[in-house]
Amino acid sequence: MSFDEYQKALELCTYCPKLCRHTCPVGNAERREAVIPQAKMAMANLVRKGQVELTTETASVFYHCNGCGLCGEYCEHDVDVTPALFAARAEAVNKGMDLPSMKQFTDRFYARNESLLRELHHTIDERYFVEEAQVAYFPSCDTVEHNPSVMHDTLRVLESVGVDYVALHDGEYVCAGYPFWAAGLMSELSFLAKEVANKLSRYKKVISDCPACVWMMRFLYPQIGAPISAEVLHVVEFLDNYAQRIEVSSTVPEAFYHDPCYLGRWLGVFDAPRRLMGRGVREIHEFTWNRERGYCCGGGGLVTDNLPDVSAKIAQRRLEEVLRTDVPMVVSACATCERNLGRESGNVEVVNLMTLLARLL
Amino acid sequence: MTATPTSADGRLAELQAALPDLRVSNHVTDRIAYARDLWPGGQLEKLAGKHAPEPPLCVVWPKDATQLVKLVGWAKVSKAVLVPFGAGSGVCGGTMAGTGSVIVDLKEMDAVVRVEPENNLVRAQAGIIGWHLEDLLNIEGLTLGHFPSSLMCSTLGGYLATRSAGQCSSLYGKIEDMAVSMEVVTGTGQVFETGRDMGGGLGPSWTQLFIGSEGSLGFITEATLKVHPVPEHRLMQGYGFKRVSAGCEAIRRLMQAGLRPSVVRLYDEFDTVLARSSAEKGSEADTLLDAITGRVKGSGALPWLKRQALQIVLSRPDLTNRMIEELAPRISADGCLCIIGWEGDRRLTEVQARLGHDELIRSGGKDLGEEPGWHWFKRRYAVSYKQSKMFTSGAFVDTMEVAATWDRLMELYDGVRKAIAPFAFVMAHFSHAYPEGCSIYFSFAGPATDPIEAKKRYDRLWSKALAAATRAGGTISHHHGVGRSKARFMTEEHGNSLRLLQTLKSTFDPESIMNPGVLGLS
Amino acid sequence: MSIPHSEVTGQLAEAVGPENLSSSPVDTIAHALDFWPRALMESRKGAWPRGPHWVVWPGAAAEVAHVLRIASSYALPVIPYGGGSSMVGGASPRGDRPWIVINCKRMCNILDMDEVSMVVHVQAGIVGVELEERLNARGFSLGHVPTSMTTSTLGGWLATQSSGMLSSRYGRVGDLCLGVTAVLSDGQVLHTRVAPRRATGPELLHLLVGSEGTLGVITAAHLRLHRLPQHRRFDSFRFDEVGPAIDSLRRCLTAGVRPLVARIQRDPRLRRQERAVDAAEPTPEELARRVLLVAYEGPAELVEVEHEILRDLATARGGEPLGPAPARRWWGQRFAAGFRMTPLLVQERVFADYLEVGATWRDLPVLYERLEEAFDRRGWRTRIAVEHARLEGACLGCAFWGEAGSLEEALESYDEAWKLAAEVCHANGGGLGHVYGGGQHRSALLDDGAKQRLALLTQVKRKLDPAGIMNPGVLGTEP
Repeated sequence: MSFDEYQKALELCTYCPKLCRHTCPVGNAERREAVIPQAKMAMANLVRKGQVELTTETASVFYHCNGCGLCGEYCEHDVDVTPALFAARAEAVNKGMDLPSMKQFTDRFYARNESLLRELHHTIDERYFVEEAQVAYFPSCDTVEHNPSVMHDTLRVLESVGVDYVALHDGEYVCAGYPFWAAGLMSELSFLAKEVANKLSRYKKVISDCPACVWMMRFLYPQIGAPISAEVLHVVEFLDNYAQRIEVSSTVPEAFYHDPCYLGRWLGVFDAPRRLMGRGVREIHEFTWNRERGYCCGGGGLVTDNLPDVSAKIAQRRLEEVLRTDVPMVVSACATCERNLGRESGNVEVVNLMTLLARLL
Repeated sequence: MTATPTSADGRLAELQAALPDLRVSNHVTDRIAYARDLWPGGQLEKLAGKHAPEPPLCVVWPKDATQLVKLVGWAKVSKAVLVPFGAGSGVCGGTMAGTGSVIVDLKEMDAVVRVEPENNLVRAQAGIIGWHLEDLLNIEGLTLGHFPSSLMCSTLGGYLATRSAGQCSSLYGKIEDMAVSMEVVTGTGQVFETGRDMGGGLGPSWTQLFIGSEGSLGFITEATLKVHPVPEHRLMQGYGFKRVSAGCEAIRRLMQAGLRPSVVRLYDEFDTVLARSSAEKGSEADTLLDAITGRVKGSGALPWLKRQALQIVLSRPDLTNRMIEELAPRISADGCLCIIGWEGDRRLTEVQARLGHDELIRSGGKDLGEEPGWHWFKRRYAVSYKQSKMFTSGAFVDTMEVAATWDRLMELYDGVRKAIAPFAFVMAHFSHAYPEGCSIYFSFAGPATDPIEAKKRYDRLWSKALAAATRAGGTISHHHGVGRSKARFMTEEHGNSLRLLQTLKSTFDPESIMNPGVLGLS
Repeated sequence: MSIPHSEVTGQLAEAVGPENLSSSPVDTIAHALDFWPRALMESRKGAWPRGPHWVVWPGAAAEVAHVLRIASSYALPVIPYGGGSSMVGGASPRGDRPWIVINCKRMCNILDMDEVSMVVHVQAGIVGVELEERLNARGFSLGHVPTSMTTSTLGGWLATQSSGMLSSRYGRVGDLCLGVTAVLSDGQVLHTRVAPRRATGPELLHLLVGSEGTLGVITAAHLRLHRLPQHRRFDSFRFDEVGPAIDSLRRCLTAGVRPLVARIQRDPRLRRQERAVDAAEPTPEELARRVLLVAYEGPAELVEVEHEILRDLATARGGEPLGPAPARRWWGQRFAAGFRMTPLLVQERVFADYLEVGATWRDLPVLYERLEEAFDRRGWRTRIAVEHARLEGACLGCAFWGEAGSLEEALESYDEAWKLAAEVCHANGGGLGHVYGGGQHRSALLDDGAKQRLALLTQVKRKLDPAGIMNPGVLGTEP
């Protein structure tokens, strides 16, 4: 996964007539040519070939990416932009040319980890934390920090279908390492992944409400020498097996479903959340950009922290379609999506699927 | 009036002082990203290591016409150059005004202002990307009917400024048929609406006179366009004709029969081979390479060998072209592929498809069923992906779209083909058919292992080909526009009526601040 | 500065030949007026207007060029003249200057017929009906049929961007034009090259189309044709009121039908009723009724489907099918409108005119109502038809007339009526001036946006006609 391994992709993008640019959430939000996928890749190529000097300025565009991969849906060259740009970020951080807002990222990461670990153990009863179990629940860091009730709701819904044996994972990290990957801090990622993999391999199944965590663990961990022997699933994939057992006492007339990028496009999970949602919502509204081409909420790729205005604009754009209707609710299955969309949704409620189901039981 | 500052920083500071609310950037990444459009000559320069030899001074993003007027005022006083910019997907160097120019990115003005289904009209700002406009119309059950292959990477303002035409122009019209009225800000700082939604068309049509102005007269900021209901029915058909001339004759008769197909495409012998083989292999991106190199034994497996084979094949295009001409009748049993599409109201679609089918069979077409048509429809945006692989394999690829009335169409086809053949491997298809004539779309590829040498060959090719086009009585561009790359042919193209264009320029941009050089103006 | 008359006469004679030049009152008086009702009314005051000082009949663009060079050097205003059927004073001299009228009708040849491409290259002085007949003889048709067709010329059509009755199918004349030859005021003969379509800058012929002679004299044009024979079908429907008729027409066009002509007008039975002796006053219901008259043209099977589509739409909206006869009858009398104005205008105290205003579908019904009401309140009569329908709207053709106490009062009422019409149009989304051009009359009545657009013409004119000789005073240009 070194920068040079992306040569072919970078070259193809350099000469491409930008046929994916209409998809890029960051490109659309900033209306700026320099941050459309083709230009970001072309800049990475120029830097790689030494035609342009790598500086904080030139490297800055690598960070204007959600890592959502929507551009790949419209690429006939099979280019995967996300890992290429994250590798470019790795190049930047190695040369000390990363964004000023990325300084001391590792320290901040670990400080947050500590604090969230404490929060987690504070919120969830200690009896749930066991070293070995059939199924261990690995909540998203954003869930722990911003929406801890999702954890209770998840456990409650699971218990309602007879799955009362889910434990909370007992490890030192509340993160599977996506931020390190997105920051281009590859050795930090490697270290963390091995630790997490080690701990999680004690379980038979690991379920997470974080699509990015699931994707990391299933696909990236094996590539960086940190395979997990447990089966890793998103909560939605797991619960789908018991969908018919979900019994609600009331329903909601209508709501939009927002496909999280990593659950939908990256993991290919589209129908399970809709089936589950259908247990409690009478009419599911689809965004024009849905399923494989689900539009990003603006929360990925560290954009929320580095470029908060851009992140907000992306969320606003995503919600335009909802705000044109009377539909009062958007449901999703990713804490990051829910947070990012929730901040811009006004009177429209953005709610986690588990929270909604728990409410309707 | 202050003295013109000599330093870029000084000029930038002046701009920021004059328009403190204007979003500006002279960030290195912006100056690089906005330095080029998609002109293949520029891609060759990139291959030679010149990624942005003449970057602009800065990029600005006006948020409304008022800011644009102020910007124009500033530009006149400080003798700056303003370049309207949509999404930079033009292929003629239309936005490449060079060092010191100010790129004016219209994309902050990208709203759909109102949709009026009852009037079959939409009002939208010029900075909206075509695909997004179509998305928003589709939600209301409407379509603009404008589908250029750049739909995902071009803006409404770009369409209007360059006189674009989409794949379904035979039914829905070209952009000048769709536009009803536009708001423009001229190089003199005037703001006006070029027409009305309906009626009151007194005097010359400023709508038609600003369409195609390629940024040389002012900025197009908003437009009212006709829309249609999303078609309730669509039919696609494929036919084979022994020779391309027979196919041409058939589509002439079709268009003159009073029918309105949505899509009419006729591929010449080699383009047919490509189209048919991509139907089997499923990806056009590879098949150009494959089709060219596929006849070379053993090239299938190894990419480096394929690349070598490509160079061999491209280095003697005159031979390759002749070989294809000889082989073509034997390569494709079905002859030249002709694709016809129909869409719209169900009854109208069905009756016209039936009448059209009869007409094409009568003209000697072989019925190939609907498969070839649907295959094209599903892959209709795929063709643009070809060029990247070609450039990265050491070849250049470009297209040339000319047009003529039917009486001289085959002469145009032969003339341009002969002119290109010594320089590059060439194939063509006919599309955008009208009762009075048709457009020919040439695709050509040549070697570019030495990009500097290749650029010289490329320039010579264009000169020879466009001269052949005008000699044959054709126009030098059907829908890509002129930009800077074809500016030197404007005299041939327009003759002495060029005076009218110069008059428009001196009326609306006497100080030459608007995109100088484009259309060959100042 | 006095004009050296005989000097000019000598030079003009050299330019076009002495037999193609006249200052005789027979000719100057004949070219003094066009068909602008106001001017015709004025002419009843006493003296018939003097007209131009010279009338010339050039035979080629080169001769036109020579004439314009002469006119430029003496600063003599010039009117390019086709049939002189302008309804807005576009072809009649104005003020006291010594005008040269360039009557283009000697330039009336078909220069080239490309039957393969269906394109004709024809001189602009050809009278409309003559062009059509010559084309018909070769199996083609232009598809441009203005009511003035037996008088007006191609050049006049292009200069005024005429619509013609068949605009719903064939567009306005500019849509039929692929290229023009025009002579500018300094004598340069310009040709815009012909292509089915191109993207090589603005389509320059559009600077001349609609310019009403203010920028140059159009001497020839390339036009797109269609082949004959075409199957034709007529149909008619009666509605209780105008709203559903307009709605049916709108939906029919939205569905993709391109009727040859579609027209909503008063129930023709009313006229027969009114003419009858001892006719009873029509009831409000009878007055509210409208008929939708349609004709289609094209391949027979396609025409049948188009007919079915409108029939279904109309009957679903309460339209009573009347069969083809009413539409066919109207079609047979389609040029009659041109004859109806004259009997009114010969009456001393009567004023009359025809106003054309375009509006989008949404605005059309209200505009219709308001116009009728406004005129009715003043005691003036109107006949409004909906015509020139297209995807985004249609045009109201409104004939109006009234009677006053004297000719002077009639002229005042004429001006008031137009002012009233302009106010109603501006307030209700109507765009005045859709069919007849602007001439001397319409420019003052336009809304601000339209006036601003005309001001641009003046800006361009300063460059192409610095001496200000090209039909000055029309379209708001300096007289």
